[in-house]
Amino acid sequence: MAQYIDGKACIACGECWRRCPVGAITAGTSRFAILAERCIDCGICGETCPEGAVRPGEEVRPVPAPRRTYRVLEEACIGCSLCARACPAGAITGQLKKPYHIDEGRCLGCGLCASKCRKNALAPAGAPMREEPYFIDIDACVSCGLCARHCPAGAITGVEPPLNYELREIVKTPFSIDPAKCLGCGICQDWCRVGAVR
Amino acid sequence: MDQQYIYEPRVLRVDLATGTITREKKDAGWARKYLGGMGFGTRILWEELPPETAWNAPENELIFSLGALTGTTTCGSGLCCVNTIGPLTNGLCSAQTLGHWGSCLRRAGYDILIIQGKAQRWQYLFIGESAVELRPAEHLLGKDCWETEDALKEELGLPGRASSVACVGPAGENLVRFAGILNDKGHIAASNGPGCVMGDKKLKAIAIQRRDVEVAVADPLALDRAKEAWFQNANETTASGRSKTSGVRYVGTLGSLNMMNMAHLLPVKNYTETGFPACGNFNRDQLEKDERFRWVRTACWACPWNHCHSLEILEGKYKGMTGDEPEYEGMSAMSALIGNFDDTAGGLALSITIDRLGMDLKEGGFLLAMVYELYEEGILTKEELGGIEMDWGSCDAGIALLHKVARREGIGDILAGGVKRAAEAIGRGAPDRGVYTKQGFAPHIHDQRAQWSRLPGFGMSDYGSNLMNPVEGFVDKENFGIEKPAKAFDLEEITDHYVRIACHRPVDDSTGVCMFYTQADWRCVVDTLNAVTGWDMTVEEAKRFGYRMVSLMRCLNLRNGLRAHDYGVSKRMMSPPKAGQWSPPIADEATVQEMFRRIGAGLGWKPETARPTGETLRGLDLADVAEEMEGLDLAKVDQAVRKA
Repeated sequence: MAQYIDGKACIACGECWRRCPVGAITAGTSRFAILAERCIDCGICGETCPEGAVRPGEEVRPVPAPRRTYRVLEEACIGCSLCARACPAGAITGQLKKPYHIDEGRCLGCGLCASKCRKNALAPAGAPMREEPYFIDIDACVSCGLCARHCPAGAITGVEPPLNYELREIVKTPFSIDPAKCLGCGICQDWCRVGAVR
Repeated sequence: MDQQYIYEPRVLRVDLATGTITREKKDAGWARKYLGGMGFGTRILWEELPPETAWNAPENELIFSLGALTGTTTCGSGLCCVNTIGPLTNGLCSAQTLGHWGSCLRRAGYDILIIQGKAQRWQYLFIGESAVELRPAEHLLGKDCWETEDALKEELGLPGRASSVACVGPAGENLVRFAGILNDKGHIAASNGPGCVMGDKKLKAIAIQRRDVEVAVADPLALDRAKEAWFQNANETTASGRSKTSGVRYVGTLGSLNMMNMAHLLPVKNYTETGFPACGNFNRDQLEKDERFRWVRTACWACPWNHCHSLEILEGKYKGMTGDEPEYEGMSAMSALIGNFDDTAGGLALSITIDRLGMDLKEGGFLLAMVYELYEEGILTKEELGGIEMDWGSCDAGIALLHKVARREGIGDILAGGVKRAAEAIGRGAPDRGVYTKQGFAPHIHDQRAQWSRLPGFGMSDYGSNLMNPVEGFVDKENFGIEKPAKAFDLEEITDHYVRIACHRPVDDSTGVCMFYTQADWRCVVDTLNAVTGWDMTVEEAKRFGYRMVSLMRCLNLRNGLRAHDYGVSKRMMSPPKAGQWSPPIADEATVQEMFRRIGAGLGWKPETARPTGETLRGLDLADVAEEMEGLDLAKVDQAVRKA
């Protein structure tokens, strides 16, 4: 079962962080959080916590609001479905040879649909895409992998490093962005909690 | 690193007289110069108060100030400093408290809270997620500190860790001069009576809603590394083999009674005896096995050590009493100091009582001890004590008397003035028996005669508590040039070491971290500060800050009316014991004053006036203070009403 640390109960003593055998707990500036993808549910954190701040379930983290959304220009759309097949959020639906439709509530604003469209039938509303690729500041990156997880183009890679428990230090290897694949959508920057994406 | 981050402390200012609430910021240069906590509070008092401000004047301010590290993941970073003009000395009060209140204030978006003026009616301040408000508090009057917190949390619908409450109890409401401000059911800012000031302003409590937000820092990754290196270092021992934290991480300070007794530091029966063979009854390891008591760990913000616990008495006549586990100070006061050799439950009940009523247990402990002695000698009678039979070690008598003090009933009205004032009011030889400083406050619950270094620590203090780290056992060649500890009665070594580490306590009380952690290597301290603030502070700069504060505190008090002859220790602290296991070499008045003179000279003060010289102040970047001190007509200040 997944677990999370209740930020309103956590007193930031750090004991869970020190005792987690797989380094699944990350330190913020004033609280600690469990990285669900690393957690092995051993329960040591819950046993260690003096405040009972470790709770079962998923932590509800706010999803960054998309910078832009796309809409289909019906007069231009030929219903080829290329956009729907490219959409990582499953936000585009329709029938072949008829204009497709984008669910704005699901649209991430990544622009992958527009990059595949041959008829210029997709128009953005909101912040423009950035022409130059994004990059990651290696000094700031804490290797949490959130950017990679949410990159619609698969342009971000990184290797989660081993833990050095002798020194009680988590050695971090920063993630990196392939400029050739970067769409310029900025979703990585929206997810980064330490301001490492520039 | 966030290149955009600048540490500019955010101020919340509340005027109780007008109900006005405003916000402002202090600039980055000011923040670096005064660091935080005690530094911020003392400097604001210097800047904003006129000379000769009485503790109960409307102009007096009650300042709650955090350090840059408060509320971060740095271990022990729950510290909040309370600064004001205190009623025991009518000089600077700087008292520190831990728990969670400070971290809640930081997360609420403030680093400094300034309370000005006096309210017409009793109020409490609520700092909520969406608003800051003053609300009526008459319905909370008469409640002790635990009851007040419970009532407020229920009223606000913010139980447990959802909020933090700092409040005064009956002692603060009734202007007991050593009343404290208690938060989170067990942490108290009490030295020199800030609770009395809060009561005088008719502010019953300050409640903060806890927000789940991250605290902005300059370099989060560097913070991770630096604070962990600090934590590891704090768990080590010094080169002299002494634990840097005095074993706090394992057993709290309550586990140190045996050690203090062996070091002759445990005060027995108001200094009339030495040696306490019964200390094993009251040491933590013994109490934990006693099934009459239940202990539950209640850690402060960001502290992983096994120190603080809540306490419940499960059996006997005190069954049902709940409170905070007494620290060393509380337990030693309510056992050895008052001649209680075997009533462990009674000692715990006394400690709980003084906390709940909201009083400083150092002052309260020495007050009780003096009354027990005066009663034994027939100087105070049962009639004068309202029928209480104050036999040595009688905890019921002590509890009854504390309630009288908190409510200023009968003799409690005199005793509410603290040890020195009460002794002077009682007369009949009481001043020769009381343990107090000439400035007006009682020292920590130690037998200060066992180590001469403690006499200047209290006797020269400008802020109501121990100004300087105990010199004994202190070794730090790298940062302070001290290779081995000073001998207990060696004037030369004591004064030399004092001057070297005089800068330590202001830093302890200004970074935002518990002083047990700041006994670590200072390179860890500055690394962590720099990670949070984006500074490039060095250990030398931190030391310079410490010396700056020592001289600024002295100037603040001189400007407020204290003089060289107002500093010192009472006769009892310079007298041999009447009985006991050992008799220390006694420092007489001449020896104590010689220590003061040498330390003052080492700090750059004029020996005859104990006043920092203009050259010293300017050398510490206090040119404005130097000018004001040089322009001050101290003779005129002498004529002012100093003791309100």
